[in-house]
Amino acid sequence: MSAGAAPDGVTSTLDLDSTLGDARVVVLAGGGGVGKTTTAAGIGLGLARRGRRVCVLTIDPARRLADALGLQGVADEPVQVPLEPSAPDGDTVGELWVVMLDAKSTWDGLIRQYADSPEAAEKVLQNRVYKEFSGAVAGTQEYTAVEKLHELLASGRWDVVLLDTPPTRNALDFLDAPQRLHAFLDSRALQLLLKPASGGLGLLGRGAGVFTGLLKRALGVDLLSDLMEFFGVLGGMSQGFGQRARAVQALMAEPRTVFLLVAAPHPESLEEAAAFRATLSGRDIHYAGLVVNRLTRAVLHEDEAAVRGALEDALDDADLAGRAAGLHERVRGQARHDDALIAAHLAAPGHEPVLLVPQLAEDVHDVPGLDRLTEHLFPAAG
Amino acid sequence: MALLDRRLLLVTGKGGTGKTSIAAALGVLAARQGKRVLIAEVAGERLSSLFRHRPVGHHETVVEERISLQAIDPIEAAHDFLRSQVGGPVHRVIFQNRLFNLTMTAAPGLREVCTVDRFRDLSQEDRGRKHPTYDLVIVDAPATGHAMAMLRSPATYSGIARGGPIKKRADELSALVADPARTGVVLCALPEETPVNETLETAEALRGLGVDLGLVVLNRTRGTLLGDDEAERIGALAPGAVDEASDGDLAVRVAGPVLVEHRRARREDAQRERLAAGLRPGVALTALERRDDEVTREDLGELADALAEAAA
Repeated sequence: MSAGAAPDGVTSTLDLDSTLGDARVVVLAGGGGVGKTTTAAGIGLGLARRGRRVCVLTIDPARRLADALGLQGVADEPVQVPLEPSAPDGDTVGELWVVMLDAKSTWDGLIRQYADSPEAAEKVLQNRVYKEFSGAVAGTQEYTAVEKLHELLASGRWDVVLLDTPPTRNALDFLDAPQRLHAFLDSRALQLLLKPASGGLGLLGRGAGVFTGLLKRALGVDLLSDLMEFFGVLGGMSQGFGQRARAVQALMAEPRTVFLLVAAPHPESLEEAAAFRATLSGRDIHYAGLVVNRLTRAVLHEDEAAVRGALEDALDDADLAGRAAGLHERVRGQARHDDALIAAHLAAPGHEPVLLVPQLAEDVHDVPGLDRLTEHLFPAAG
Repeated sequence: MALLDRRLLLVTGKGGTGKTSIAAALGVLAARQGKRVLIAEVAGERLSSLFRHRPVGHHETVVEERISLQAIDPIEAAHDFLRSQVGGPVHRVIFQNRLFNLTMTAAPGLREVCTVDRFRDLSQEDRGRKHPTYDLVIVDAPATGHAMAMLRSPATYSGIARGGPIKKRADELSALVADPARTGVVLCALPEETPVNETLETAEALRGLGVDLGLVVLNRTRGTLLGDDEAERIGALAPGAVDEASDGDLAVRVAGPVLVEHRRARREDAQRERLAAGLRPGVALTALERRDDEVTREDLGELADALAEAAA
């Protein structure tokens, strides 16, 4: 029985070795708390162990993992993870790098790049609305993630870049972020807001004039002028953002860009996976499958009495056997639950390949821990 | 001050920590004590199906005796706010304005401020004759990061808008969230490293904002029935790594899962201790046991029982 399979329930059908064989970009999407960052690092390590130069772009790694990978306090700069030769073959041929996204500094870089002049850039960077916007507004983190991805690929230093996307309720939010931002900056409404006072705009123009008057009354004058200035300068960069949005879209559609969804064995998480699958039709992206983390495993088809009997025979300790069987029975309840959830997910028509990663005996917070995870992510090589 | 005697409770925590169930269970508990409760959620609607009711949307809707629900739509909340500022007739003129929607998307924190203003309105002691009054408003808030942004938004906004009615309102909202007699936060956590870190960081951040942390709920805890030596004795029955599936006798096959579960329970115990040690004295902490199945309306009573002592 392969290491990636549950003892006697659902089994894995996704083979990362062949799926990611010549991938250049691997995008991992999924909600929060499903182990996405750890999975990205584990896949990255597996690919590095196969001789590839790998960079993992992550958003917000757990602190101990960040420490172990050398990311503590380092944002926006790739850091190389020293890899001990892996037993038993003993040679490390590839490289593993990690970089933590800093949305704010990526934005600042973009503004400097697209602004007409250094003065214009400085004007935006000092704008109060921009300062809030670049750090806070929903969708800007998604946008900077793809922007950073683009930058890493362009450097040519890596064979494959893994992107651990920001957690979103809907995995597609991330895909649409560049397009949305561009549409926002480019919108006709924005142009009208910028020229509320100019004559000859017709009803819409007059409406906008009335409107800005009302906004002044409701929101406060200063805010409005900051907003206008912000849009005035950022709107001028809209062409640059538009080009970038198209480039990102093309990159996402490339055959060597592979999407994986990461989930936990919870109904909401698997529902999200099903929704992701459903919305993919008509989209030019390559969705390879679903990684389900922390699957609880147990012997599903033996009851507590049978387990107690077997343990009593093996241990010659009735009291311990009884308590251990009680603990197993509890795990079995959870394992059956996990198994049924995944079986139901797989029963849906047109389901994707699935890779099941069991609950590990230890948390992953160092490279040896990642190596243990990698054995489950790439079971064929183990 | 007893948790449920405030007017506004915000239930937040990392994604997947059971915020919605805990908010609902607190609502059931308060209703049992005879309070009229409104449970609100933001940008999403999960409570109505939990209470076996059709979707309620942005409308205060009675779903059970003394329990009402509202799924707050931040854009609708902004309309509510503007309507209160400029009056209904003027508001209608700009109701469908694209510029308005654009501004809502772009102005930092504006949606959040308007959402908090909805909480303020709902939790008022006197809402006039047209609107029902509630003894307690419980908010199933977004995940921690967004919830904190929401709590900070009045102050942020007040700093950006140097004048106008919104600044005045933003100052009122800052005062509301920082008043422990009126507002409290319930943080939901899981007994794992990252959620515990985040809970401790959030607890400090709330302190920095002057917002009262009324209760921390550690959800989905498990315990072990074994001592460490005993668990290792059982693990030794399995020949390979304990998280690998093994073939062989039943005793060999159960050994791995039993040891993995035991260690997991032990790690969780350690996280629970770390959480308890990291919280300031006086912050109530309670634990809820892990359950296999999704919480249904029937389970809410049981959850309410489990929370009753901590909420008293």
